[in-house]
Amino acid sequence: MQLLDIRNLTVEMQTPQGIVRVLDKVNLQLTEGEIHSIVGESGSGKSLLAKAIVGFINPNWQVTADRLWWNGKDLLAMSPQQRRQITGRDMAMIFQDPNAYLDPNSTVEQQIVEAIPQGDVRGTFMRRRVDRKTRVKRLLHRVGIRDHEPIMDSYPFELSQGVAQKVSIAIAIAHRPKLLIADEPTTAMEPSTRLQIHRLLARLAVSQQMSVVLISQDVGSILPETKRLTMLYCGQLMETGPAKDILSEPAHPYTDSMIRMSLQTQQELPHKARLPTLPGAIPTLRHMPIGCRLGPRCPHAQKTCVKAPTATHERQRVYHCHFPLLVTSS
Amino acid sequence: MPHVNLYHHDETPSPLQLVWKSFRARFLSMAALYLLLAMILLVLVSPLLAPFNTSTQFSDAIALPPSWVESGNMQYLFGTDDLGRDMLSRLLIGGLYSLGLPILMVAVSSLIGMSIGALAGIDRTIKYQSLSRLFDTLLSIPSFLMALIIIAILGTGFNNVAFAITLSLIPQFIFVTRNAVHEEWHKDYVTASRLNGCSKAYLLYRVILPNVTPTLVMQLTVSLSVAIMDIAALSFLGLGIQAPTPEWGSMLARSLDEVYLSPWSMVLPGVTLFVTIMTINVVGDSLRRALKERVNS
Amino acid sequence: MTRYLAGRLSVFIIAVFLLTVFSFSLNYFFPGDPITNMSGVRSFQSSYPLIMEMRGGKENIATQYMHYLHHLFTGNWGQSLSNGTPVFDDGIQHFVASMELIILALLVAVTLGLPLGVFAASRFRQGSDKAVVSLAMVGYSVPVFWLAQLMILLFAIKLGWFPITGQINPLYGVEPQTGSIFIDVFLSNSEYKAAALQDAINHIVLPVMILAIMPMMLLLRLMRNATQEMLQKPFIKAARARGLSEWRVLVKHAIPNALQAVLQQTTLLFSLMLTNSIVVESIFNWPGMGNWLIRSIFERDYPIIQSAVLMFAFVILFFNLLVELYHGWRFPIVRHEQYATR
Repeated sequence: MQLLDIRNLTVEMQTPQGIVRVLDKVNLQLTEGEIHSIVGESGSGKSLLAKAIVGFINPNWQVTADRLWWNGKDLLAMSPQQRRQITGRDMAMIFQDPNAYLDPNSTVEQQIVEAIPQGDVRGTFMRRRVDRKTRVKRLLHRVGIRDHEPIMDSYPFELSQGVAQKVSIAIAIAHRPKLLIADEPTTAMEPSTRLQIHRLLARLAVSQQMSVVLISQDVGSILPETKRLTMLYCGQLMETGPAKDILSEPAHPYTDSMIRMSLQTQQELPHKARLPTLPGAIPTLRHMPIGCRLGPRCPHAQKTCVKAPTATHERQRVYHCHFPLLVTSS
Repeated sequence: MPHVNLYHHDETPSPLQLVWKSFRARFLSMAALYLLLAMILLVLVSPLLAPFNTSTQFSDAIALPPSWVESGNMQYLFGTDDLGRDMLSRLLIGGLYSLGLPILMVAVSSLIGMSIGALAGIDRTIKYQSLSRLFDTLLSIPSFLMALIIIAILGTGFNNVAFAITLSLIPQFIFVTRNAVHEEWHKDYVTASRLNGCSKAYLLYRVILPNVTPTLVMQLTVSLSVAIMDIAALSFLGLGIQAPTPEWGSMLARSLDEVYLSPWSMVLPGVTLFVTIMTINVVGDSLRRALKERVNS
Repeated sequence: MTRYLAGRLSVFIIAVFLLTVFSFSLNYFFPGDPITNMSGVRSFQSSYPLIMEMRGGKENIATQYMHYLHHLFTGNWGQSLSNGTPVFDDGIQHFVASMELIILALLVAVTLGLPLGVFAASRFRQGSDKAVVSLAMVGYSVPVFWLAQLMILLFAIKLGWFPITGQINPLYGVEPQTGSIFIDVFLSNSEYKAAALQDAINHIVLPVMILAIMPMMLLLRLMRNATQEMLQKPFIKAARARGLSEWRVLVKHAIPNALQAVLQQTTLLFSLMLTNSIVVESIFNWPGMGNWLIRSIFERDYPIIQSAVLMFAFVILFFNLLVELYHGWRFPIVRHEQYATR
């Protein structure tokens, strides 16, 4: 059963220079309980894709899609109230800067309590209070905060970034969502904290039967448990498929260069060698190349690249390129 | 050959330009600004425009209604008051005291207040740190009360009132400037300039000043409307500019007795005062709005 | 919190101390004999040498100041230069009368201004928001004395709903005892208490309304801007994405945080309120501090001027202290910012 099914999602933004397509016909499929990573450089529209899923988007921007289905229901056809209800019940999102996403003037306990569904707590008034408190404690334990007492009475500004991120994960999983979207949750963190958060996410995905969409800048920092991987560049889908296949033999030149650029995956780099990077810089929103947007920077680009490549389906993966690195076996 | 723009040229306006751009984009802001400039111009040339002397009492035209009323007279466009003095002339000349004088007072007090405030803002000594809270507390005493104290000491009169209000406006300028400079001082770009070895004077004028200018201009408009209110209120209470001088507040003060006879003598100065303050407030508010838009974008 | 409390209290105490120094030095700034300015006893009066002795008039400034402080705290504020009544007793009555007016107006301003501000923010840039904000701009710009005149003209003269001046019709024979007209009515032995109360309410409506309008509009604008700014913060978006109802987002998250921002500006509110109360009391002949101060400036009654100024300044400092303490108690982040590494 497809949990999430997105076909040709396009987001257009109104700027003084005209309409800019920040997401150009992106596809994404997600099944229950899988970990899906979206990787791309800054400006690739990966956060925007996540925000489009939860309906977090600036209302002045144009969102169109052939299909934006959640559990077989069309999200775009719903009223905002309905959609918010579904999003609130089934999805949750965590962000890069957890402190900005926590209310600075309520305690951690208040904020977690608020996220626990009303139906979960039963009994009389006093019983409910005790019940809520134990639930908060249990949630904090589940995200790896063992010393719950001081944390519960703290305000967000008193927490370190790692703990704040754990608290926001606790808030996110309080209502047992089917999907957790993590938008670069560890980018600004120390390596050890990053590892903790990553392990936590992987464990939760298994124990809670929850799909996780992890957004990252770097192929090296995705979870080892990642099942599928999607590469985005400038709002265009480059390649998507099973993570293991893509990482071992990339089909798209962009994927290939991203893998070689990543320090975590690149062990055999000789001493004082240059890091293999793509030439040029990421184009600004106003100056998007036509056709394949990677065109001007792509080492394999040819004349035909000014036309947008169509999707090539091969085994389980899909890529958009005129000149893929893999020679198709068929 | 016509000028062809081959390459797309990216404009990156400076922050000040950005504020001005978003200020200009709103009709109401520009209308208020033009109205304010027009009023200032009108006040400057008012001695030339006023048709009559403000203290001439026309015994044949006592309490004459404005010209658009049936019984009015075109000779006295806005009518006359209960002593037969021309309202238009009094309003125009009154502007000198009610709008011109506050502008002058704000100019003087802002110069003094801002220089002290800027110096206080960059002073980093312990002594200053411990005193700043105390100053903040004492600054919460309203300027009107301070002006009243000064008048109680010096007595009423044109010079004393001008001095009192000017003096009472200074603390607010010190406060706002000091806070603005203080806040900027801790931002990373200033730290970077400091590490580059810029002198304090350079930091203040070239690094910090451009970034606090809109805040200071906003404070100017706030102070201007406060100054106008204060001088009108003092004159209304009979402690400000004294009777024969046509100040809007003092014109209002004597109008209540004659409101049955000549309602326009209450409405006209009141409307003038109201429109003046409103215009200044709208300009200040638009500026605040433009500033916020710049920060948000 | 203890540290915050101690810090605030010590600043308050130092400020009050400076205030007494200032009001003491006023006696030297005012024209005439400082001892006369302090006590209200003129040099040709028989009790003058005694007063001179008690106030330490022949000794140095520091001793004089100590004597002044002693007199101040024992409620011995001298007597009026114009009619010889003790300043302290008069002052308490005027103070209570003023506070009655100001607190009522403040209540009106808060109960109307804050909800309207939130309402405008929740309808940001829609028709109703624009209407409310324009109204606030107009209301904030009307000079209070002109507004008072217009209201008197409309409600008192044209419609005849409310009386023009004073606290109560003197026919009821209510003796001023505490200064607060409502308490005075209850204390009086008049036979027509209910009617007197009705009359007192009639008298107070117009001044309270006029006094409330400007602070209300100020609060409305501050609250609207703060709430609107909060509604754009990430944590509000996150709360919405969590599926909380718009009402709950507003009440639980946007309003408390907006209040935190608004409370930082209450200094402005109090000084506006007090400034306007001086004008309004003079117009309505309300026997409050403002009226008292203005009259004493006209009469050059220096003991009263300095007492009134002292009371005004003290009231402002005290109100601000209360707000700051509440602020720090309710919003811990304020205390945190205070002692952050700066």
